[in-house]
Amino acid sequence: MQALKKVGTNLYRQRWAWFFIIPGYIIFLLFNIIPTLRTVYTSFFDYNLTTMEFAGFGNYIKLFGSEAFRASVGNTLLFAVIITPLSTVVSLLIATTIFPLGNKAQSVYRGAFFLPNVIGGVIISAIWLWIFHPVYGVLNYVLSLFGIQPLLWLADAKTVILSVVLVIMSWTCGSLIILYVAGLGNIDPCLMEAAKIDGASPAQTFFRITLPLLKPVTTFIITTQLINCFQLWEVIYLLTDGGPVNASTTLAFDIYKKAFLLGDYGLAAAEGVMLIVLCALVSLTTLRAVSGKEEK
Amino acid sequence: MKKTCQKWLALALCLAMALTMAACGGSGNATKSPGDTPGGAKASATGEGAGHGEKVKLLFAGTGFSNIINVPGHEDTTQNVGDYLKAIAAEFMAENPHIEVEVLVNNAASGTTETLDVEIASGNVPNLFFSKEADQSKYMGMGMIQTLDNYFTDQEISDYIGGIMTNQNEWRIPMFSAPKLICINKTLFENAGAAHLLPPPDDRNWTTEEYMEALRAVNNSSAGIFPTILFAKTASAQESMMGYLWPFGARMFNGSDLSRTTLNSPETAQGLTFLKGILDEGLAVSGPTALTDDDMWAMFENQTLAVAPELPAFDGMASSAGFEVYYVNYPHPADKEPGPLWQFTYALTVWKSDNPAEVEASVALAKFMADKWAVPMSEVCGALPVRESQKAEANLTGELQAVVDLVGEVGTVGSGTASPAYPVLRDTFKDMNAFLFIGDKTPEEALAWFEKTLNAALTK
Repeated sequence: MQALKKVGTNLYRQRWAWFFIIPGYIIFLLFNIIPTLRTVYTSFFDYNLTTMEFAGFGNYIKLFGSEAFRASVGNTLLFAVIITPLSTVVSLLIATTIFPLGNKAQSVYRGAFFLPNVIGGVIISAIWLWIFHPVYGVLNYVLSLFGIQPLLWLADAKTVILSVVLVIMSWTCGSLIILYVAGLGNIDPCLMEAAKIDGASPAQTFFRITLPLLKPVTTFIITTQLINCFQLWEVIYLLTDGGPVNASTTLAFDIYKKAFLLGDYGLAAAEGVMLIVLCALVSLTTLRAVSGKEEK
Repeated sequence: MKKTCQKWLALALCLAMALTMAACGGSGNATKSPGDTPGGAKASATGEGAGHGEKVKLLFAGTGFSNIINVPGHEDTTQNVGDYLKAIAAEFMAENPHIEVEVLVNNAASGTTETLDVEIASGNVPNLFFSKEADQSKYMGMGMIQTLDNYFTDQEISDYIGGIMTNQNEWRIPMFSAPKLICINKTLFENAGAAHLLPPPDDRNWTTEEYMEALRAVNNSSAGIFPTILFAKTASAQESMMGYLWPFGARMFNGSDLSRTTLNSPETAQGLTFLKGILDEGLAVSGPTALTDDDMWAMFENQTLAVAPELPAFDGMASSAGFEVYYVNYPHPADKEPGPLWQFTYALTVWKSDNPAEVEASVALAKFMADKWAVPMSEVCGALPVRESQKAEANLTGELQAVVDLVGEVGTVGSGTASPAYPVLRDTFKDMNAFLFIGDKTPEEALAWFEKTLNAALTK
């Protein structure tokens, strides 16, 4: 009874906090929770926008037999495995390079690297589409100056993953650099000075002081990059349309295709559920692996 | 003071939320959950239908094609994308005051029917839909389309040109169409001294050997001029690629039996080998799996492409860009007759409804549109009338008249647009070509894969 009274008192004390937070909760409920639950529900039906027939696990069984689904899971994981560590390392390297520069120079570099984020994925993809063009592409022109035969960047299953990775890197690294520069700015300079006095080499300082102190930023970057990789859609839609023959298709793109192009909304919902499960599993495992020691 | 401000801010936020929610609620009509209306039937927006004094309400959806603007005779009311739907609805309502037509424009920019799908999912199921036939077959597969056999008279059916109507289970009302054929930049051939290699105007057919010879003669890729283009990045315009196969004797289905594909045949394998030969000999732009019909249009406009497999829709572009366009048939093997052409059809579909009055009114609107708007709309789309009675009304250029004659001469062929699995068919056909172009499969292997994949979808 006393506990209940305490809860009541706390609620009364926090009434303004609740008042402010409730609009956010309502939006989250309406646009995240309810659609997610609805997707799970739909995944058990043969749904064609007007009729719903219960299909049990039929959509999931059909999904595992689908060539496109298997390819999209493989590609999504491949993109996550390549892009997440690569973008983390590259942005860290760039951030540590521009951090010691003066304020003005640092601002110029930060702005330059962040520019693609401002432009957005659609425009970035359109620009890269031109760069990769098999006939008029700038990239092949540059290669030809070195006597290298032109490559079919997006038309060849062997090069398409690399091409997409390149586009994603050019698009997303800017924001990661900003985060790392901010993280570096939060490290107490006294620690660096102390290490220098103690005779630590620059490599020792980086690995023993800088990197551990950047762990919260790194954890955040890895988690968000993983989630971004699982949501990869517009770049695939604009650059490759998932091809050639599913060589670059992703889960998010396959969901779109099954729903809007093929009209199989139940199957698309089942694939959406699989995406949520896979994304949660990979993100939680990575989060635990990255921040595990810190918790201990 | 600070706390009072916070309170007011919170109140304002809550009010804004409430208003937003109210706005999201929509106008209140036709918001019944689609899941609650089995059989795809749209709940009547007028209660139990058109009783005495009650208006029949229709939702008329159509794709906002960017080229359907400034429709001849209706220039003042069709200046913007999608205006033609409103103009048709207004004219129809003036003649039929007991019918109220609401217009829904499907955004054509994405190349799909996302706008319409979202509306349907929200309960706004249309009564009538105008678009490309390929867009409509998805809804056929979903069981939403009303068959119209009882609504056509024999006289009406016989007015349509051969090969346009299905003659059983009529599921759409064709408005106008255009065949996929070979569009040639004649000026490039003249500049290359190769115009004599093209088929003469009085017989627009050629053999595969003659075609290859013409492509070789115009090939000047070092100067940025490419003989032709093949594309397999998207499912869009895959009918252009299919056009190469029909003259070899390839057929997608056996007549009206849409239960199994018959594409996997020695004739199709021969056609695919021919296609691959064009690519292997360097007579097509490299990297077809990264190219779309948009690339084809851009290159044709820039006069860097001599031959485009497309609709005969380049007259306007040719006159503004200063080149001569020439339309001919796809090439055929020397031991075979010239192949038939596939017709790209714009059509109307009437959607199922529990309310017979809505179906009746939809058919009336569809026939009104097909009678009064088909010809002027076909003109802005660079297409041809599909009814004998409308041929005289159409204002065809010399080249388009030649296309009409060519269609009359070689006939038309179906690619299975009436199949519920047509979207899968297109996508699978694109992937089959991609397998072939990247060298992952031989023509026979690619065809076997296509047959297996498509038949699995057809038996679903």
